[in-house]
Amino acid sequence: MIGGRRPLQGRKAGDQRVRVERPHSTYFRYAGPNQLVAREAASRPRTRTGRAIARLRSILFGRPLSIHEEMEERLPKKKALAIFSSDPISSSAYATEEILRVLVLAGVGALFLSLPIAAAIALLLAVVSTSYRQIGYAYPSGGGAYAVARANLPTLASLVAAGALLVDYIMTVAVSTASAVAQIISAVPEVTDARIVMGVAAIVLITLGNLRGLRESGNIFAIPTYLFVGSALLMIAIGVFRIVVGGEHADPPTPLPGAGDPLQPLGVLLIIRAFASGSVALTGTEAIANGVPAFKPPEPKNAATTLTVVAVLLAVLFIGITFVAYTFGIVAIDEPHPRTVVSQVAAVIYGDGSIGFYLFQASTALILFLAANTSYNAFPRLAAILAKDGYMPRQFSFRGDRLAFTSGIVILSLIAIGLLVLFEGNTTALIPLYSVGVFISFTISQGGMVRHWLRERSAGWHWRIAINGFGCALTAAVAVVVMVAKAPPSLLVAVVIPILVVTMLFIHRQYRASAQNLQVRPDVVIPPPHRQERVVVPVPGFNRAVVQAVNVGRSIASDVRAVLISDEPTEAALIRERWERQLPDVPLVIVESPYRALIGPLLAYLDVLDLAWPPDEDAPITFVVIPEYVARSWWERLLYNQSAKRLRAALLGRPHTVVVNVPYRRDEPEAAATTS
Amino acid sequence: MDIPQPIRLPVATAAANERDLAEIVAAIELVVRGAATRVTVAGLEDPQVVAADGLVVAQDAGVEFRLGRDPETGAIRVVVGPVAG
Repeated sequence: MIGGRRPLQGRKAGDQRVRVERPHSTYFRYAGPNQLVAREAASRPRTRTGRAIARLRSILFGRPLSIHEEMEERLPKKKALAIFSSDPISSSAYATEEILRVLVLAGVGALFLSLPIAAAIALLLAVVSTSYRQIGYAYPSGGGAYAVARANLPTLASLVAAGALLVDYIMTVAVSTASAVAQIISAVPEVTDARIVMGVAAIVLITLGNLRGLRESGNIFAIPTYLFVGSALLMIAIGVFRIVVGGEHADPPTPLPGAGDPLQPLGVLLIIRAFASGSVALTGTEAIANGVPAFKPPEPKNAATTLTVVAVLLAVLFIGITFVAYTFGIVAIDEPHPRTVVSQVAAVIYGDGSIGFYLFQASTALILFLAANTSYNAFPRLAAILAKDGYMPRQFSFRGDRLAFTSGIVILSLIAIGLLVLFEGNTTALIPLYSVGVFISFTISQGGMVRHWLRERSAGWHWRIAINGFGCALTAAVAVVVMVAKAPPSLLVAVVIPILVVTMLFIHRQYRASAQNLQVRPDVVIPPPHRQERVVVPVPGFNRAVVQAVNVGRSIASDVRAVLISDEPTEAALIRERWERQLPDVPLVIVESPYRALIGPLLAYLDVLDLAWPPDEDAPITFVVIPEYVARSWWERLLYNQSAKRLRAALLGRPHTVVVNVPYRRDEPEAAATTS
Repeated sequence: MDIPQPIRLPVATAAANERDLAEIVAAIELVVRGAATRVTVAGLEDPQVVAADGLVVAQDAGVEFRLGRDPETGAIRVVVGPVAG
């Protein structure tokens, strides 16, 4: 413990007082012998610029959160439903449209297939969500497909799952944002030209929200999610009532927008393509299993309940919107202004241009914008897990002031913005890249669960293995179907995932190699240092900073010399004269450099010093002690220490060399007394 | 028979001499490599002791070598370079 009790003599003879000293208490809390816990004040910036930046960060991202506040950041089911459901539920806004865009190629007669295809996809959703419920229970620490594969399958399979998930999360941001902008354009066609700008602005806003931390994100996302679910359910209910009770229906427009010319035959391939397009509805189902640790205890149970609710809601919305769209003869329109299928359904039910219509469109756009948030929870978490396992750079596992994985959030945003700009914000163009990764990760996680149950053989393992086995086979088949049916764009993902896997293996190899290099054998007692030490102090002249650096050098080793690189012999002679008079014990080497270079001659000096060392002895450790003047403001920083910075950079990685910076503060009384 | 006891004279240690010579050799090498035209080494512990060795190395390398004394402080410095013409 720093500080302690100091006995003091009282005023009268025999009086004894004890002063308890805790000099650390401003910055640290005593937590036990040799253990201090840093307070917020310890991280507070000391400079004016630092404080200004901290204030700005606080306004943008909120006050720094302590790690002990993390438990309070856990999500209750209602809030978790809002955060994790925005991705799967919002896909109901474009999944029907993707089916219809394929079926119209075969003409009006093929549109009836949208309903059975939607039903088949809902069945697939039931299987996948049931399987993922089991994953949540078996792996409550999260990680989803990657965690399952890592525990049960070879490394390569787990990395493929991780790569597929990372691609999936990025695509979620890009696709959801593109679709949200399409919903806005459907309601307000005048903003068609601002498609990309709106998308980028939305991603930036969501990024800021997430950098503030989890709880605020939950608050931001709860209202639009529940608004969309409520208004969509109401829309479907009104639509079904009008169809079933009122007997209303309508024919598709003539000529049919987007119809093939000539019409494509209604074959199995077309149906499979429509199924592959619609299967985008399943994206995001895995997010809850990945985010189990974000739930309040009991985490697995709450996550499983939330997953079931989300799956049921998604199925009802997807089939409901498809049914109403088909009955009212709605298909996607691209000319003269793009109109999405779901916006046309809202126009038919609530009335085109009515308050209900605009409210629904607004909530749809909002939930789609915020669907990206599922990825903002899942991507950084997965990246952090991968970083902890040594497959991603370590900075992905560091949490920012607000307990958010800052690096993951920023990278996710940048790539998603890039994709959005590259594909000009076109949802249908982005979707082929989307589904492949999702179904690959589904397949690997189900396969991993089969291995899990085979090994565990816990109660009910027979039926559990049957569910996961069926899910694995089904999703594997869908992955192949999506890959083939959506080629060639889908094949791009098949290239990106292996690249990611190879990169992760490369990073892992690097970390493993450095860990092996750094490891200390556990069976040896470390002896004291046996190599000799010498100190080189590069000096620009004779001043207090130099004297302080030389004194620090003398405290390191007895073998100290200063080196002055000079292109001005007269000035050098004056410095030498003063040096010999005031620092006679320390050798000064004046290197006259005709080329006005500083770094080169100094490095050459260190080289020849090494060469002059007896070859039969261990090379000594050379401490290069660099005097530095501490700048008091930002503009002083520009004026001083530039050579020191270049020297430090040049010495980085030099064998047997330690660089020591000796900062000199203008108001250091000790140095002033020595040298004045 | 009396055993003669060696008298410890206040001479520079071998390590200090080695350090001084290494410093002079490094200075010569700097000039030979062209990193410096002239190198002045001041503040050596006992430069006279290693001056002869330094001179041999300098002559071998074709570099000028001289000792200088400060008239006020009497401190001896070694000046190496430039390359002998």
